[in-house]
Amino acid sequence: MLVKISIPFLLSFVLVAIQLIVIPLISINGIVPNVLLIYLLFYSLKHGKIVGTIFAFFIGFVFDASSGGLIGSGMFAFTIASFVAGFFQKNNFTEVLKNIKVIIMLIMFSSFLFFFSYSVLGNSEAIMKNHFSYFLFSIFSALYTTLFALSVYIFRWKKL
Amino acid sequence: MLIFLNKIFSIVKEYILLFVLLIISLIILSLNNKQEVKKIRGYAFGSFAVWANVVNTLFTSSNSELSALQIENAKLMLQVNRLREFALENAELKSLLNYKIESKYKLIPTSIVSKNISKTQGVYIVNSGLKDSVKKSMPVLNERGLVGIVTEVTDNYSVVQTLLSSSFKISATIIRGNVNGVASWNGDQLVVSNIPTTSDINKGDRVVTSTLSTILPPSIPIGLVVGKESNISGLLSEVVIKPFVDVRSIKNVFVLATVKSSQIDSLELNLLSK
Repeated sequence: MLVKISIPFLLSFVLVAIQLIVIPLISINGIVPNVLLIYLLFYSLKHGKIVGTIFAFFIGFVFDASSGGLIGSGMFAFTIASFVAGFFQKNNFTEVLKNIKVIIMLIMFSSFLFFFSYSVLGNSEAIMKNHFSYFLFSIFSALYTTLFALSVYIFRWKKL
Repeated sequence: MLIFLNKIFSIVKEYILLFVLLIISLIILSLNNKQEVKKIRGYAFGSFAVWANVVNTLFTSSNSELSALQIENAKLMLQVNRLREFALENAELKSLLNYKIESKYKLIPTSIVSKNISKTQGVYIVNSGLKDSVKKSMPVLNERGLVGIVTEVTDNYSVVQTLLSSSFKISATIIRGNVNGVASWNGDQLVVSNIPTTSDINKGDRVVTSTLSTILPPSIPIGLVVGKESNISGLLSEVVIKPFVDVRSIKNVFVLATVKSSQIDSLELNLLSK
């Protein structure tokens, strides 16, 4: 039981570090994929909405506190993205993984929600300007995250 | 009745959980300026930065000669900018400002250990802290210009809020027309807002930190004017600035160890006591 809880937490801590140290090196014009989000989405897909959402909430807190950013913005964004991913959960996890269309749709939509809410909540101004630019940024970031996730997914495909 | 309520709860429990967690997130978000939340953040980023720094040192090799040259370069940049400003002013002002030019810049070299790249939260953690004489509100720059400002400090690490953070607001001057305003990141561009449309501003004008700022020293280069957008009324406009520093790609920066003027402090204290 302890191992079942501690391994995902340890893995998440490693991914927080990778996200903040290594991933900025592959940023394209300020757009980066989010590896922590990819892991949380698959975690939610495997364990369901309730477990996935609670787990994402705590990891969001760790991410916010470690990055030096606003505490709460990552918590909100990771929680909502993981909740959406939980909708795609099925009893047979491998069966879900084999459906590539579902995987693409899941990552695209959830990561769009993540990037949009994270950007909006990170804005200190009460009134949000440039709505379209936030929308575009979230679309591109979601695309990059999906491509990144798919490259790992295809690499692991043979093992499924 | 109880069975009915139980049924409803089992259907909506996931939504209730989501709602509660989102509300908690928003409450914590609104409490970010509280001392308790700042303490938690300070402890967390301090602990994280220790091993982030270890990872960074594994991948990067330090070169003392290069660091020394970078310091020299940054110092020269600050001096050149001052001289450029002086050239635009008259002889009388020059003689007054000569007093200030004698002050020496103390630069604390530091490396970025982690970056939080997002549209509105440009925050970096650097490996210098209280032990290196870094204090809150000190400006962070490189050889090209201003990068950001120190917002939180622990013994060995500091959080830097960069120009690309929506919470970052600084007093800026557009040199040629001597126009003052507040520069901030709107999520897309760095802009100086609420400038009268009639102000003499052209593309290519240099923007530096203002003498009106009590936090940042004057004349640190920020960027160049690349555009001007009038608001609906046409009376005020937003001046768009292209920063000199490519904030997203930098690795090494300097903290400018400025000491707030004791005269300004005493004046502020006098005002408060009245």
